[in-house]
Formats: sequence, structure tokens, C-alpha cells
Amino acid sequence: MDVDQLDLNPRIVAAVKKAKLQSAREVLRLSGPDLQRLTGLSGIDARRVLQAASLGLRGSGVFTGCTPGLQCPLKPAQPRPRRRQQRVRLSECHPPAPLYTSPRPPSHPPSGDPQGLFPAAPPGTGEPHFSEEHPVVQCVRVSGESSSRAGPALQLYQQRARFPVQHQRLSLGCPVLDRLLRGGLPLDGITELAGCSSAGKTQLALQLCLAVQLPQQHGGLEAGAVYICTEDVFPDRRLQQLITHQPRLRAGVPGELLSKVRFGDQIFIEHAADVDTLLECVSRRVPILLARGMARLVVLDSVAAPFRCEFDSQALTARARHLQTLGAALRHLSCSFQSPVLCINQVHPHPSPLGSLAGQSWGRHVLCHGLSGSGAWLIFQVTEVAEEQRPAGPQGFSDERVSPALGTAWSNQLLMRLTAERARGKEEPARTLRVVFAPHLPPTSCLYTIGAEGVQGMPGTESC
Amino acid sequence: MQRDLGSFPLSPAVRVKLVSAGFQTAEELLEVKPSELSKEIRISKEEALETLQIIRRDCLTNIPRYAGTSESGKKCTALELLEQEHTQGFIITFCSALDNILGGGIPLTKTTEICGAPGVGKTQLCMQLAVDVQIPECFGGVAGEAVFIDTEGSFMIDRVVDLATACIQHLHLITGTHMEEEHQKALEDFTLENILSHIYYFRCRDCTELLAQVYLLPDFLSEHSKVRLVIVDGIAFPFRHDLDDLSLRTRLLNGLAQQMISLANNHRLAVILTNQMTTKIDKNQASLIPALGESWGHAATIRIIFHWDQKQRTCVVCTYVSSKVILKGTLKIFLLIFVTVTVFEHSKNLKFYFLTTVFLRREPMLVHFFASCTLRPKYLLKHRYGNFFYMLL
Repeated sequence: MDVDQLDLNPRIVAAVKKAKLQSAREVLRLSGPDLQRLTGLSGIDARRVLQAASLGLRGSGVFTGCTPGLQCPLKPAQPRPRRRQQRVRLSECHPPAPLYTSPRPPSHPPSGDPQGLFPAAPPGTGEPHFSEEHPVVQCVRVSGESSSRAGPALQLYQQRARFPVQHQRLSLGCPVLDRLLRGGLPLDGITELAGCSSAGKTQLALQLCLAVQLPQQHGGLEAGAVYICTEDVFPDRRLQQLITHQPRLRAGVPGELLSKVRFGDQIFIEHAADVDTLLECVSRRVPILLARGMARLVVLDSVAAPFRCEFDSQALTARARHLQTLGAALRHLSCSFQSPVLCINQVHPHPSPLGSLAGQSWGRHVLCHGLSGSGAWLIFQVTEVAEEQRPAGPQGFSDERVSPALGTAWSNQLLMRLTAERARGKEEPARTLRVVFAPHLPPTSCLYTIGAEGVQGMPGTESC
Repeated sequence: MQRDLGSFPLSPAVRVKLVSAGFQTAEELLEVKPSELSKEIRISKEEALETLQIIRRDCLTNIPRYAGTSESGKKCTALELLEQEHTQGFIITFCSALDNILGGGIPLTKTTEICGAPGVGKTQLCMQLAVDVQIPECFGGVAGEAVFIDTEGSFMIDRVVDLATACIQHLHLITGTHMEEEHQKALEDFTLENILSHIYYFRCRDCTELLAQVYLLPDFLSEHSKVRLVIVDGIAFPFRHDLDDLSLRTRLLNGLAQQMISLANNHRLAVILTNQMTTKIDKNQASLIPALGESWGHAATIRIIFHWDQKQRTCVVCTYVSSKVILKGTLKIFLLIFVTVTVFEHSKNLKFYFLTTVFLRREPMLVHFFASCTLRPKYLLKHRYGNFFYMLL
């Protein structure tokens, strides 16, 4: 928001512009004393500037879903109810002209939106009504919160259509697994799925890519998925097999609906072998797909691979920085476009306290190689020597010597963590899907099997 | 406010222009911005700003006040402050061990920082406290409202509903046994809808939005005077990835901390901030410390660190200043020293001396100091190894 549009004395605005501050966001990035120094204003005036900038950015109410000025390609209109004319200014809407040429027209009219993307504006509040050009981003601003209205958390609870982030989940395609996760993956935040090799993580990710394409009443989000591969090639054949067996897996969905959906066409595959390509992909290419509404799920398989081969023990701070940037970019995507993000992670063993250094490193090398899940790793540095000490607390694996890779720097970015484990040594491999931490779930687990039609939970095996 | 514009102290020219443009009452002007007003009735922007300020000042009961208000000009003695501190309430956490070490619960007028590894329960505690702050006074609560500022998107309304339902059931169980009328009446108001309607939720996505929200909080709190708890869930995340300039980050965080402290004091509420943990590598030893650096460590009055001990969650309270705790500690030390010195004086046996210091693991230095002051060197020199022991002292 421009400094000119703030509620300030022109003298103060002139001083602010003289200090080369153009927008409210730039003003807010400075502390009070910094602002005083740069503009030469008094303390009270500097506070007024910050107050006015905050008011311009946040409005006067709660629940700003998408604020203007954020790097969202679609800027929402700001509600300004004019006297005697409840007309909303759409002149500040800037649709990105080159981007929005979607081949698929928006499939829902504004009045009866199944996905809740157009909030039904209560009369007389002057909320913006968006034209059909902006179907994806829900930008809601409630102006003028008065104390006589019902409080906000109550609205989060009662107005389900208006806040899909709180109530809607992406189904996994199996009712048992959905019950474990109380509906499925949340729409806002990064979900991590960690596990040893051949535990079934990629299978679950593929199943999600298909489930997201179904309509909302069947737990999907009616859009495609972006699949970012960092280590292996995309398992195309397995995907085709899953598509063929979809009717068997999703018995509750009517057959003609399944045959209408073109599953293979809506999965967009990206390859990123190193950290820079991955960051560029996540910050440039993926937002375009999400902004057009063509995809509403991002799968990153796997997040550990580029970081583990590029950073050795000396560069842990650089690795942490990159992880934070990646995490922030993914969270920003997830929040702006209300799309779940699933990151698949590997595990790493803890260094054993005894044993010689040489024997230790060799043993670890072999162990890590086996656990990496890929046969093409010739060079594998033992990177975990100076890593964190053994993390305390339940890591989600029955074998206490392993824990998810990438350490605290990555786990701070997550909303919830799931682990997939395969108990070896039995005839029928019992695979366990466990919730390690989530804000809305207790630490539970359940068993599942992998068949031709996909991942299915075994009913009656849920445990705490 | 349906007050007529004629009753405001406006200049006649401006008043005529307002009336001719169709503005009759003050209410119509409250929603208009100065730039719009100046364009519509064709006056300069300064005049529009002044006009709106006059109208808003007279209409709104609580106007935004900047520093230099009555609060800072008031004189207050230390005795009054002590009495205030004794009478202030605590927000109970429903975990008796945690309430005990905090001296009753989360104290009002102070800032508390909760640090911990992911998954240890910081957000759960925050959601729990947002419900607990609303417990009626007859049950020992503060009967206040809560503001929840979420920067990580971890506020799940389903979980809050679970917590609120459990709290209501717990209170019903308590009243079931007591059956007092006051309790029954208080419980009638303590319903799920009421609890949810008194939690004000804000979602901020980066540090600029968070800073903006915190600048707007004083006005919000003036309108909602019953708020007794402000929670910022995730103060580390917006500041860690966005800002490369560490000194700017420190300045912004210091400013934020100052604002939180002044909010806590002026509006008599508790502020809770949640922090992440980061790894510190020191000579090939890695340990978890709270994020945001050393200077942030001084920002909060109380710091609670959650960590895992085997499979059990434990918490450590650091940097807490409480009159009760200090008194107990000091008394203990004095008692120990008194006992030790008496023992030495009467027994004159150095074996006792060393046995006692072995038991007093925590205060050996103090004991050494006081003992060396009081023990006469005379009989130490008489002892075979007296010189040696005296050197140790």
C-alpha cells in the first residue's frame, strides 16, 4: 500500500517520501528509532506513521485472509463502502495479464461455490465481491469489527464455508487412514512423511495426487498436483497402474465420475536435482500453476536428497539457511493458495557412542547407503558427524536409532509429521503409519498394506 | 453516533461544504478517509484530516493514546506495587506441577516465553491457556478474554473445541459436588459458544504483518477491555527467514518486546510468546538453545523451556523473579551456613567440615567463604594438615 494513501498529515507524508520509503511495508520494516533517524520526525510523529501504516496493511478487523501487497499475483480489491453506494472499487485489482490464460475455465459460478472460495458476504459489510477472473485466492477482509458481533473464533467454528482452512481436509483415499488423520491433510502448512526406504512413502504420495483431483464431496480439491522429484525418476508405470485400479480403491465414488476425470493429465512433474534449482522451482514455477488453479497439492519427493549430498558437516549453518528459505517458500505457497504441501523425508541413524572412528564411519556409510532408497549414490559423505546429538523424544520409529533427517532446522518448519515404517523380518510386512506430532491430533498409529490399487489402512489396528 | 454535525466545533466553511455534500450525522463521516473527504467536498487534505480528528475524538470513547498518557505520569510507591502483585491473578494451566513452579500459574502483567522443540506442546499449551483465561472468578480464574496471533497456521479450531468442552466438563464436575448458586450461575455463561466468541484470532504471515498487528493491538485492547491474555504463537518463524540483517532483526525484536511489556503493564494482561529451538555447535558438542539470539533472551520476564526426558515432557523455568522463590532460596542458604558454622565451632573436627560440604553440593563456595571467616585459623594450624586445609579454604 502506497504511503500516499495513508491517513497522515501531508507534512509527515512528505518527510517519509523524502526518506525514500514508498510503501507501507517498507515503513513497517523499520523500528521506531530508525524511522525517526531516517525521516527526521519526532517520536510521536514516527509512532503515528507506524500506526497508520499498520492500519493500512491490516485494516481494522480480524481475519485478513490475504493482505494486499503480499507477493500474491492477484491483488484483492480493498473494500471502501462509499456513502449511499455500496460499490466496491475494483480498479485496484490487477489481474496478471500474461499468466491468467488458463485452458480450463473455472468450474464453479460465484454463487454456489462448492469449495468455499467465494465467501458469501454478509449484507452491508462492504466485503469485496470478486469477479470470475479470480477464482482461486480467497481474499477476505472484514472491515470494522464491532464488539456486538459474535467473536472471531466462533466464526471460525460456525462459518465452515468461509474458512476452509480450518474445516476442509484432503482425503488420503482410504477411510481408515482418513480417520487416523481426522479427515486428511490440512490445507495450510507443510506435512512431512518420513520413513526408511520401501516403506511406502512414494505410494502414498501418488495416491494423494489422484485423490486431490476428485470433487470436494469425495474429499478432493478438484484440481491437479505438482510433483517435484529430487532423486529418482517419476514412477510413471506405477501411476498408470494406480489409475487403472482407482475404481477398486474408491468404491464409494460413482464410476462415471471417476471415468470423467483425466487423472494423468493433471499431474505436473518437475525435476530438481540441487538446492538452487529446487528453490527456484518452488518460488517461481510452482506458484504459477497454483495461481491458475490447475494444481492444489504440492509433493516434494524427497526434501532430504538435495541437502544431504551438497552440504557437509562444516556447512551446517548454510544448510539451515537454505532449509529455512525452502520452508518459508512452501509455507507461503500453502497459505496463499490453500494447498496442502507434502514433503517426503528420509531417515538417518544416530552415531553410536562406542566403536572406532574408522569403523564407525564405514558402518554408517553402509547403513546410510542402504537407507537412502536409491541405488545410484556412489559418493555419499558421512555428514552426520557434527550434527545434532541424538534428539530426545519420540521420533516416531520403533527402532530408536533412527530419526528423520535434516534436524531441527527443518522440523521447525513443519505443521505435522507422519512416519511410515516397515517392520522387517515377518512374512506379512506390517507397515505402520504413525502421527508423531500435529496440532490437532494425538500421537496415534495404524497399520496399512500396499496393494495394486494403492495404500489401504487395516481397520481395527488404530492404537495410541 | 447520530450526533448532528452542527454540534461539533468545525469551521463554518467546512460545515457548509459538508452539509451541501449530504453529510448529516457524525456516523457517516466515521468511515470516510481524509483523502476521499478532501476530494469529495473539495477542501485541502489538512483540513479534512483535522475535521475527521475532531469528529473521531468526540465520538469514540477510547481514542488511541500515545506515550505521555496518564499512566506514565502517575506516581507509585513500591508498597503499592507489592500489593498489586500480591492481588493479581494467575492464569492456571490445569497442570498442577507447572502451576506450582510458576507460583500459581501464568502471571498477569508479565511476559512469558515458551520455548521447545517441535512437537513438545507449545501450541497446545497456548490453546489451553486461551480457554483457561475465561474461567469464571468463582472457580479461581480471571474471567478474561484472549487474543491469539498465529504466525504458523497451527491454530486448529477443532482442537480448541475439544479443550473447551473438556474444561466445561471439568467445571461441571466441580460444581456437581459443591452445588453453590454462584458457581451454577457462572457455569451457565461458560458455554462453548461463549468461550469461542471470546478468543480473538489474527493470522499473520510474515514479520511485517506481525509488526503491524502489534502496533494495532493497543487500540484493539482499548475497545476490548476484558482481554487478559495475548498469545503470539510463533515469534521466531517470521523473524528467522525473512530478515538477513541481524542488527535490524535485533532492533525490531527489541521494539516488539518493549511494546509487549507496555501492553502487559498498561492493560494488566499476560503476554505469551512462543519460540523455537535451534542447534548451537560448540567445540563439536551440539546442544539445543532457544532461537533468536542472546539479546532476545532478556526480553521476556519468564522463560519456560520444554524438552523431552526419555519419553516424558519436562519443563524448566528460567529467569523467573518471584519474591516467594527468592525468599525461600535465601533463607535456605542462611540456614545452611548457620548450621555449618555452628557445627564446626562446636565439634572443632575437620572431618565434619568436609562431610558437610559434600552434602551441601550446591553451596560449597558460600560455605567455604563463611566458614573461613568464622573458623579460627589457630586450631587449624595445630592440626597436622591444617595448612593444607586452610589453603583449600
